[in-house]
Amino acid sequence: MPGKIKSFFGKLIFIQIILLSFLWMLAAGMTLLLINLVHVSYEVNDHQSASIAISILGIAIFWVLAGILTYVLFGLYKGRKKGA
Amino acid sequence: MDNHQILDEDEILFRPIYQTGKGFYVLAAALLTVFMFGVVMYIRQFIFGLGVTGMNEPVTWGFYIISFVFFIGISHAGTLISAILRLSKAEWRRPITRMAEVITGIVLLIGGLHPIIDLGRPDRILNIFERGRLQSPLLWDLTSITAYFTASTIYLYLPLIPDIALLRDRGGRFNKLYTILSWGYEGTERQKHVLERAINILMIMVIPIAISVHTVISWIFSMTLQPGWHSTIFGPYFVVGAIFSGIAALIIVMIAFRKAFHFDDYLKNIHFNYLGTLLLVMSLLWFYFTFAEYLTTFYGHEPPEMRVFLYKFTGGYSPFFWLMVFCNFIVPVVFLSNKKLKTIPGILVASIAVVIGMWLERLIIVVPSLANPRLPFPTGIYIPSLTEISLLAAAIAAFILGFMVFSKLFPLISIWEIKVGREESVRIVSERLNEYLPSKGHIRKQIV
Repeated sequence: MPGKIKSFFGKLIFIQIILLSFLWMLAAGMTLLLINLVHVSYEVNDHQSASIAISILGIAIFWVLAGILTYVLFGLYKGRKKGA
Repeated sequence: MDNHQILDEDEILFRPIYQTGKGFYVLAAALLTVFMFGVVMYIRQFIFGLGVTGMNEPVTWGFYIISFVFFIGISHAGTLISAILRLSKAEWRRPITRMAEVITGIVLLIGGLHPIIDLGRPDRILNIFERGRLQSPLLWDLTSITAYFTASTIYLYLPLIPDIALLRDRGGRFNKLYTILSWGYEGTERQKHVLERAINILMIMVIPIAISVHTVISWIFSMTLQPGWHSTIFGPYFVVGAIFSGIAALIIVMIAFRKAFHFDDYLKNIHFNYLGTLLLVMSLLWFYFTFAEYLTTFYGHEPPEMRVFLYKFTGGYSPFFWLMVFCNFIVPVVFLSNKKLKTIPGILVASIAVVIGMWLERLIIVVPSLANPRLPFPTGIYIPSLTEISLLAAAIAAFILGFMVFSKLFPLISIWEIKVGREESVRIVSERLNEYLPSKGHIRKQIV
């Protein structure tokens, strides 16, 4: 029985980490997209500074959001009752 | 957190999750039919192209872009209102915030899809990822809407965790889903602290993101030199309109679920009274912006601008324009400034009028400017086809369906916030009042 419970919690954590990783993938995807668009602006010599400014803002927001959710989810795990 | 006490006191809030009436299935089937008809019409558009819509030269934006602006505007109901009420520590917010946040999540999904529906070749959206120009407000829009959707979803999810934990502890269907989503929440002091801290950071973050979303949408129009669009006040004008329509949508949703699930004890007259006052203030603000916008145009009297102006005031679009003024200003002012009419049915009438009026406002902004371009073209004509009308109906059906599905999975009113409110609000508010008010000794000293 304890083995079964252990494997259930193992699966649970695995699923939860996968769910969390979606947000990090979104943050990474947006970062790649914005970097690519900055690269395009350099290629066509078109308002590079504006592109960089917009990208910095955009990238920061997504990383902060992913960071907040990670902080909460790991904080909830750490804050469980002892022995739970 | 003593879960048993919550179950006893707030059992009615769990009831929609466990009990489903016949009416629910009938309504869901009807809405699903409308939605599926919309899907069929979209598939037809996908096969035959945008020729099946009423859009043509020079009116190349129609119902889809109107609905896009409208639905994204409605999204301000949620996160922004919820965040502002939380930030200002308004205690009456407790039964409202969840519904407001759900509205945001659903309408952002629906609204965000509309620019893709508007494309004859949706596969070409991929060109943005490869060769997009970050100087275009359309790209700013893509970034800000994605950020807002992400922030709103997290902002909806975090305060939902304690309620998901309650559902998990009750057992029953979807228990595995609740176990996964509750992340081991047990209501310990440390867990509460972590959650509270994250919600506080998010509520501050979400406000500028929400404002940026509708400002950027307004820039899609105002960054062009098109008559009727090139305006400096479009940013705040759009934000005011968005909050205005958002509050109206929130009131409608609250009244509908209050009636359907007997939440009378949670959504009381005072909540509608406060939101009604907020709606009235927004109506006056909306009128101020509209007046300022059109007075400036009229005073400038530039021929291309005046063509659009007269088309709205006395021309082909005048019925829609004056109906918009009636819905957004006359009805709310009459119903919400009169104590006898400011009842729940009266507030509902005003809210429905505002939602219709704000959709008309988007129509008034989008079509007349395109129909009267700066170039010497004859005035364009736009008559929406069945495809566009059915897709608008499908979007509304999807919104209601989304809410119905949510109500079957999660509580529509934040149970733990109600519980905290019952236990701590009186103490917190009286402590706060004591901080604001001068002490009795101080008053006595002044008299002496």
